[in-house]
Amino acid sequence: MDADALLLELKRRIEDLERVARSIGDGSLRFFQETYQPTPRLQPAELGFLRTISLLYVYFFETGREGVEFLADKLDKFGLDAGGVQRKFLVIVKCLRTYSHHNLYLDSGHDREVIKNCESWFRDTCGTAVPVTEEHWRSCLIQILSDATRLLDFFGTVIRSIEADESTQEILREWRFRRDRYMSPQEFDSLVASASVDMGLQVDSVKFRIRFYDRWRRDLTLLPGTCDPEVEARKLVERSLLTDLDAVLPVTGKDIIEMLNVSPGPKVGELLRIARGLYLRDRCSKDALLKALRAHVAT
Amino acid sequence: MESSLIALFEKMKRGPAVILLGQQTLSWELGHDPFLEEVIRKFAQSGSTANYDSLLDLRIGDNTESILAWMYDRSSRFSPPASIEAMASYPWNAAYTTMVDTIALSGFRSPSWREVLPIAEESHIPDDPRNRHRLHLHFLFGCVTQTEAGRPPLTRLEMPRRRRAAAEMLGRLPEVLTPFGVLVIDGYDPATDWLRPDELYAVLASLAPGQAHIFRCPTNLEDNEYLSALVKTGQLVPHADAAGASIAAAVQGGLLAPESFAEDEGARRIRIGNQPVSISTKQWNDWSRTLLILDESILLSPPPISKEKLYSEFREFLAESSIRARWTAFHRKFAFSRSYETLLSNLVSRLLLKKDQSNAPVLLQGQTGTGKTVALAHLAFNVCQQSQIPVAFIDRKPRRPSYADIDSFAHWNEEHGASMTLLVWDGMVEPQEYFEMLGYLNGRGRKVVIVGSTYKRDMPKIRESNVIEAPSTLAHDEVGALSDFLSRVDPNLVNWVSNLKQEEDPTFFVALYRILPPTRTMLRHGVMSELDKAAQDIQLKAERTTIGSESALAGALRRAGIANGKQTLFSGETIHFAGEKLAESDELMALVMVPGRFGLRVPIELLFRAARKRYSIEMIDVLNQDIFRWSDDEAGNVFIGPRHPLEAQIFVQRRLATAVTEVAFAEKLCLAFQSRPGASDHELEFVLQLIRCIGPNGREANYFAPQFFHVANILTKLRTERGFSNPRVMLQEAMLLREAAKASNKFGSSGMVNDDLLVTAEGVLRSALEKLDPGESREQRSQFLVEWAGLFGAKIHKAVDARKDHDEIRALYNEAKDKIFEAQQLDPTNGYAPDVLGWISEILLNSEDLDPSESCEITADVFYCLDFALGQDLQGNQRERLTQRAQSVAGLIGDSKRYQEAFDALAASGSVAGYYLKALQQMPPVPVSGYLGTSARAQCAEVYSYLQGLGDVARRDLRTVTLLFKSWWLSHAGASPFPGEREALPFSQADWLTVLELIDLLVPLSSTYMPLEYNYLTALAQFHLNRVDDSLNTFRQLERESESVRGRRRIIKSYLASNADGSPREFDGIVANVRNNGMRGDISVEQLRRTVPVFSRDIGRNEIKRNEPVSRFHIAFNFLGPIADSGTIAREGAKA
Repeated sequence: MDADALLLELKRRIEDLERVARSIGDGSLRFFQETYQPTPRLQPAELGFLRTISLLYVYFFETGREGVEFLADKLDKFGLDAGGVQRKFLVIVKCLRTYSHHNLYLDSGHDREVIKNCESWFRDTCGTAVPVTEEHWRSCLIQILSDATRLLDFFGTVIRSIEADESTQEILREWRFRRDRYMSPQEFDSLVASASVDMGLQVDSVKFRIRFYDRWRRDLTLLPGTCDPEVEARKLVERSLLTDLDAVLPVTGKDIIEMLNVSPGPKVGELLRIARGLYLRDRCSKDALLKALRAHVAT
Repeated sequence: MESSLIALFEKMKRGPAVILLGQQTLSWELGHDPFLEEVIRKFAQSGSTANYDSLLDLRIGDNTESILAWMYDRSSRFSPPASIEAMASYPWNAAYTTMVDTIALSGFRSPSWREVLPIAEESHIPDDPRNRHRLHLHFLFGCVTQTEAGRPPLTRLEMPRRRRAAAEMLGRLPEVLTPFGVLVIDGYDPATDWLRPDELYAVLASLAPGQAHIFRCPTNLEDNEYLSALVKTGQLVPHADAAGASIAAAVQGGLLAPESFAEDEGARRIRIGNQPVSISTKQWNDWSRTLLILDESILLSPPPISKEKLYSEFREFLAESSIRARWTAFHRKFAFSRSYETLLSNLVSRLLLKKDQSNAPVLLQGQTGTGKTVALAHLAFNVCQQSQIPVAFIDRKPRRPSYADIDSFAHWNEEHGASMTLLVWDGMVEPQEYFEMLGYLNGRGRKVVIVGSTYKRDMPKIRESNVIEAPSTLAHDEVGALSDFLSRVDPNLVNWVSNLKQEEDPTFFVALYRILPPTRTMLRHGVMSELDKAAQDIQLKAERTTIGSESALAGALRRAGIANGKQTLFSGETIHFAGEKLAESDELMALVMVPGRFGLRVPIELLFRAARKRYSIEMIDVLNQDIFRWSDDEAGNVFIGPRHPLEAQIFVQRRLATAVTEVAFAEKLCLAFQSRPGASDHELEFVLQLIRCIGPNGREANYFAPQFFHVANILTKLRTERGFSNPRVMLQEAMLLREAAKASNKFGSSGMVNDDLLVTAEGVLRSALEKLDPGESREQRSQFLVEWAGLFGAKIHKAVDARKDHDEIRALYNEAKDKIFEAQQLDPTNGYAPDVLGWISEILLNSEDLDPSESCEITADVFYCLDFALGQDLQGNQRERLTQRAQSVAGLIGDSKRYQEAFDALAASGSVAGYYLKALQQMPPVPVSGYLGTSARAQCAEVYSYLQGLGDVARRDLRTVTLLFKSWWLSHAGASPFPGEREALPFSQADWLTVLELIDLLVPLSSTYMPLEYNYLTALAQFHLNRVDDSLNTFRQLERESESVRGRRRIIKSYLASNADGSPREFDGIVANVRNNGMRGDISVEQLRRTVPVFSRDIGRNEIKRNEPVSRFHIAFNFLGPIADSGTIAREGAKA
């Protein structure tokens, strides 16, 4: 099968997957968010490969991120991924995307690992760690599309296994729990806009969201089951707005070490926190703040 | 973030950190418990609620097994929620749970860098309970993975037994936690959890304030009298948030850095030949038990820090650099390079480039406080930075390094292309220990350069060794360099230090820490007398600190005036101990400082037991003085030691002053040792090391000699009163008793008659030998026998002095000789065996009562023994010592015509000793090279003929048969056995038959154990006589038995398959199979119709491929069997 046919096959598998998932339980099982994804041109092969990597990254780590994590996890739970082959494939997609779209630095351990993984995959796929010829790239393109299709086949199998399992309802409940704790960047943009207006602030919600999105997303996943994710998401946004826009203290840790004769360590952090409290009550000068801090320590 | 959380995370970093997850964990995380809901759906009565108690009312009938299997299957379907994964991702030292499903277990198993071992039975006590890389997850109420005693209760009747098991498992938590650790509790609802609040209270009440933290604290906690009491005393700190979210926030904020422990699979990499090579987690964890492997992470530059922090780190480096290597300090250039470091570095570089096995370790010797530890760590760091050679470091710790781990690491390096491994062992042990380790590794074919540290002592000259001295005083150029160095850290330091005459202070680097004030801003202020102040601080603080919380009964008694007020840690009374008056703080300090002056750190539990103090956070707090240093080992055991051995020495000299007092403190520590099955052996190792330091092999043997009986008595008490009997300890006990007997002659102090001491020692040895596992190594059994012979030697000494009956002395001598001969057969490389016989023979030969014939017998014995030993692959300085011994014995008889005549007369009268000595005198000296010239070979042939001519007389005595073999071999091979590598022997079929016949003569004369060299030569002869199957069987047996052989002989390819003219035989074959990326495999040998192993490098290839033909190669032999080879032939044999 050539690359174009494989790509079509891939898209068809995704549609099949969604159709089967929707047919289970209450129809809440959906994995890939609908987005506009034009079918990329795959010639020349090098360009086709790079475009395919971008496309797979979007499917597996952006629009389908929560679903793919859930299904990959269930592959383990149902014993369908012996040797973790499919998990490794997801890792290699991520690495190849970093490798082909970012600057990598050899003095970074993470970047070296990425390079090592990618070069090893290239060598296994087309016989060289650094593909050059059209033939090399074609081999890589075919391989990545075939592997992605195979992964989707595995996902299809795991969905069928969930359907046949006697704990289907509990597993679906687990999925809904995860899904409810996921908020897309766009949803957070709206939240930032609304929270900032309510606080009388004017912020660029997209820029602000980009800075905090990963952290908010992680914090949401850690919320206990009894929480309302939407309320908690707003709390997260408001906390970030408050701390980020807070005034900078006029004293530094260095000032505290020198003026209060304290050794570097946790004590300095503690004193800085006290200084922040004092400063929020009374926006004073550096000397006045140090004086107040000294008095506080003395008491 | 609240300050109590920050304090908690600080403590978690230091560890031990333990987590306890209650049964509400899943419900609170997910809003429901999927496992419970499924169980109830399937088995519960209708209307049951999803709580753990409903598990006890299931409709299960007799189907327990299948229900448990079903439960396991169900719980393995669900994934742990993100918050459990966040908690589990932290490198905990131990984990406990009251849940019974595997959902949390799979969360803990998620990080690939760690093994998780579930423990569900109370009888299973792990020997490394705090290992972060091998996490023990204790299922207090069992787990559905288990079927018998470890399964969860499924009826109410089963609950009491399980509750008792849970209490026992949880009861061990304080010990795992130690007074330093913190316990994090989450998912615990006192109203519903199977672990009842009173049961939890029983454990938490023994902890110190601030040690236990409960997350998602139930709002009704105050209603619970137990938990609210704990909260009031600060023994339980409540937090409203969830542990998972708090830990994740701490990681995000940089307060916790789990990645420093938690490396993903393969993320640990070392550099070999400038290429990074990943190490698997399992291998890393295994090797880390012994070695600190310098991986790439050590090369990463630390982040920039402020000048204040830099100064503070520098001071910490000065304080701790003698305890452990601090790699970031080398990046920050905190280490001042002494001049000898250049010599050390050049020498090691040369050895690493040689790519041959080292003959001797590099030894850095010097007194305490001369910068050896820093120099060794710096050397390791520098070699690691060059990225060519793998480097491992072993710091000073009670546990002896595992040779097997080192062998495995070096072997792995070689398989990944390393030409050499650098092993830096800052052991401060006897030079012989480094030689032994090198011998072991050489014996396994490893190419390792060992660099070790040792105290400065007047060692006999060690041939082939590379000794570098670390002088105590700074050389002129070092003084100048010091100013430059200090100014780089902080310009003010130069002025500060310039006022001191540091160049006259031999302990300058130790002093430097004390000189420097705690903060940079105090550089201008004065210093204090730390030791005195620390002792005062400890005393005052302990007198003011009350012990834990008061029980209700104790409080009632106190209020009623029946009991005294609250107890404090110290009573303030003076202790009369070992003739000294001591404050309690002095006692505690002495218990740390006495071992500390030998560089030993005391296991904390042992210290507290010795001082009769309760293991509590209050005591830890009292001991939290700058003069002490805390450390832990890879298994999480906590130790305390002085900041520096020299400071400990100063304390001991000032406060204790005598060996009697020191030994009394050592006794306190040793007798506090507790042996428990399955427990870690760090306390035992500490006791053994302490005894060694104050025993005859310690560096202050003369100082402690009058106390040897007392020291032996400590071990006797351990054995007889505490029921601890271990052959290694018993060997030490016997040795100490023998030395005490010797010392009592000199000092008259034992209070026990010498003879009794020796008889006692003999009894100890006899029972130790009986205890020795028959499978124990030849080496260890040989050591016991030599020690036993030494006891007979001491008896002979005494008997000779007392001019006792001749027959009695003769009988004692025969006993000693038999033991020595057996020891030598067991381990021919045991140089102590001939040395002890030499010493005994000197006593006898010096006595006037011996007649010439007896002298000749003894001389023959000792020369046989020495001659045999000198033909072996001896380690360290043994060869020199034995040569000296031989000269010494020869000096006693050498010039005497009387003896010469006696030899002749004996020989004439048919005495075997006479024949032996006469023949031995005619043997030519064997040159160091091992090869003989033509005339020397002819002389050997004459000796052989002479002995042959004696017929059966010469064939019935071990000494003459050994000489018969040696003279034949030298005359025919032209060299002593095993002279080098790849020798091709010029032996005909008849010659090989003679080899077998001569060895056959030795068999009935040897003890149960033949020297392994004869087995090798037997196998070699069988091969050449075309008895290839017999030969391979003999080699297989040899491989098994030679496991414990030291030295290189085991692995060196000593001989090649050869033709009768002394040329090597050539073989052809095809590579039958390939392993290790083409680096090794087996060749099917055409001429043998069998396969032999092959290494690609041995046949001059980079790699080999399956079915590849290989022609005209040789077959070489080491103790492991035949091996294909085409290396350079050392020498083709020549016909005599």
